Amino acid sequence: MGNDFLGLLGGLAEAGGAYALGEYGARQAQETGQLGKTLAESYAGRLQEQAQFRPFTVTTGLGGLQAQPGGLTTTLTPEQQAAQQQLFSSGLGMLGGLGQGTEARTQQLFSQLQQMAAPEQERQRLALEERLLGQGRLGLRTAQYGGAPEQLALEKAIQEQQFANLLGARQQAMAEEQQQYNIGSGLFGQSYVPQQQYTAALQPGLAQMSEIGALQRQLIPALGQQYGFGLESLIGGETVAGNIRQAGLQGLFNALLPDRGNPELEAILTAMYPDSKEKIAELLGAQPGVGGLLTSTLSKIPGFGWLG
Amino acid sequence: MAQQLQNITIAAPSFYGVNTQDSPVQQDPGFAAQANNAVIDKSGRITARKGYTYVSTNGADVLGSSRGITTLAEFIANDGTVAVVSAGNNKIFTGTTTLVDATPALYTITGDNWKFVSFNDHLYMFQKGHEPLVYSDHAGVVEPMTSHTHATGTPPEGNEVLAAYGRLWVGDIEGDGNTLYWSDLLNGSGWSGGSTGSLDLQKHWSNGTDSIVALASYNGYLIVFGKKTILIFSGANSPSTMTLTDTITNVGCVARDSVQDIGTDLIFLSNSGIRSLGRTIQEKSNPISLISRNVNNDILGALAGETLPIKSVYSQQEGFYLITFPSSNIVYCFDTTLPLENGALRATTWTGIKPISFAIFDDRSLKLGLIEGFATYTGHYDDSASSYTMSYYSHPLDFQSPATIKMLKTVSVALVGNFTTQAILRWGYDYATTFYSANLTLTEQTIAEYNVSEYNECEYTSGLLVNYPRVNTKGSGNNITIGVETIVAGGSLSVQKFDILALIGRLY
Repeated sequence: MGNDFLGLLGGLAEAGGAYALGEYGARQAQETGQLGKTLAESYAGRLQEQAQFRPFTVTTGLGGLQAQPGGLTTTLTPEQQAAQQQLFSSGLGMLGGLGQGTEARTQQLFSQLQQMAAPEQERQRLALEERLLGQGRLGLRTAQYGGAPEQLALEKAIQEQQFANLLGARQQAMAEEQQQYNIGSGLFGQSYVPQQQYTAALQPGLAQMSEIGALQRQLIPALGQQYGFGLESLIGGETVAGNIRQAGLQGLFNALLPDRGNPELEAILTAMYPDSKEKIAELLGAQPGVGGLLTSTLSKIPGFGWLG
Repeated sequence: MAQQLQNITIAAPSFYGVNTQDSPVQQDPGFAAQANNAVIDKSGRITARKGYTYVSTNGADVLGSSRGITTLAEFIANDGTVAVVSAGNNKIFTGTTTLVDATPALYTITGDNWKFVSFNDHLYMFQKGHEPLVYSDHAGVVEPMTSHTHATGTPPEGNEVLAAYGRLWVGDIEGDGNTLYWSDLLNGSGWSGGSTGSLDLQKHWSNGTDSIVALASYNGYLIVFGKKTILIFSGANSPSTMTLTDTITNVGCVARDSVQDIGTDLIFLSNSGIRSLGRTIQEKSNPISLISRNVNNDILGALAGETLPIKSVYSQQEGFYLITFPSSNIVYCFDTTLPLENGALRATTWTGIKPISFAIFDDRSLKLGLIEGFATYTGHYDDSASSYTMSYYSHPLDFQSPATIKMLKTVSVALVGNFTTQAILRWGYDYATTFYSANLTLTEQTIAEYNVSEYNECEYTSGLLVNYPRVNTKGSGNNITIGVETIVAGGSLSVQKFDILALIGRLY
């Protein structure tokens, strides 16, 4: 038993030393991985910094453009704004009156045409009246014509002229509406010309900024890649550390636990090291995380339940 | 030394009719100072007018105390059916010998100043303030126009109506004396639609405010008589295009029924006398002459005092134009056969006959509307049995020697006619109104006697009897007025001439 115990202790020392070396190696791996991550993050940070949007301004003779992270702000020159506003309001004004029908305008034009024709009609009426008076027929009333045949003919001609005026007024009103639409549409469209011209003037600058942006955007994959590299490094380091710890623990276990699940050994170790749980656990679970994982894993092994 | 008798002949006394207008001094002996109940016959002699014989027999029963028959017309339908329509006593009568009340039921008549016109197989009756009446053969009754089969619209209730140029023309409506209405073509009951119409003449009177009094058609023109203006329209066949061709100012018509077409002229009573619208073919104008020139003052005097409707008639057969002034009980007779040189017509007067209305029937006989019905102007008895007096008086005659005294010795009168009557010669001197008189002995002539037995009697007539009664006269003076009065009882009498034997004495 003493040899066994010494052998056990020697095994423990060997295992412990191996474990300690492994632990050191694991820590180095972890640190290396962490360093890689840090470097990758640092480089990524630099890339991110380069890829970040930088506000810019484009200025032309028609106005300027300010690009901010929150958006674009365009500003026309006062003259251009004035022109735009005038065209816009004029066009809007022209178009605003549309859609109300042509009746009112028709009636207005009709009234004007009637006023123009009224003097001549009155002259004709007076001339006819004088002729009828000379013929002794003024005051004539007939069932056939209402008055004299000439009076009927005159009134008929006046009515025909009124109808023609009404038709002409309606046609004119519709033509005016069409013209108003055309003008309004034109003005309205022209009101956007300053903006369009201004936008066109910005294009070279914007193109340049776009190219810059394109380059910046090209860094984003690199940025991600760097972050990936960092993660890979970290993961790689942890993986190596984990492998090392695992090997160490395996060795330790192999040294400490040749017969896994031996209650008598457990009793012996317990008697010998009343606090062997903590020691062994400390030896086995010194590295948090991985050690915890190893401890919890080992605790599932029969005979190491006490590690859990 | 005895002076020789001088023979002074007055041939055809009153050949020129009555002349009370000019100064009686040195008047032509052909003019008469008085020619009463006389006419100018075809030979130019002053002749007793005819009398009248009643056609209707029951006039006294149906006319009551009214003036008598105020309007009379003979209606001849297209199929030849004859109907006599008359008005009086605020009623409408049909019939000849028996007047039958034909007033439409529920139709109220308040006056007797009707105007009857025959047009297109209808007899239309118009009076101011009354719905026009229509008599037609197909209806067989007198009916209000609006009840008539052919009626359209509302007929104007005019006082004057004219049937001419294919339609009725109506004027002088109560409250509207300026509007002339015309009916539809060939339909006197159609007053709406078709070719009806009206013309406001107020705009065309040339002498201030006027109103329509009478209408006439003459020589293709439509004549509109106002009281002070006459309008002459041409083209009345198409009223919508007729035109005023002439306007005569300051002359109008004052009596609706005084307008008569005598064929060669249109006669009417104006406020200045009886006038005519003469016709001048070459100039197409319408000069006016005063046909009552020789008796104008008398006419105007009668007109001034007249309160009843004045009636007139033109008889082509008798050759005269009659116009009656009922208030004065006098009828003026104007001979239309031979106008005088001054354009006047020869005028005589009638008294005692008192016609209220006149009508010419299809047989050209003159009918008289009288107090007891209507009568025919015929025979030489008034009312079939009453005699009347014809009188003739000359103007004072000086026989071309106004300064010498004349002494009538003998007067003989040539009287022509068939008569059994008496005649009286009257003479006076120096504008005296009292006359010497002497009976003229006339030879009787047997005349046709109705319903008298002539068995075993021999009676001969030598035709027209001429009497030359002679009277010894007396007195003296510068000028002599001579006259004859004769009682007409069944026979006509004409004064052919006067033969006067007179001594021309010393200077006066």
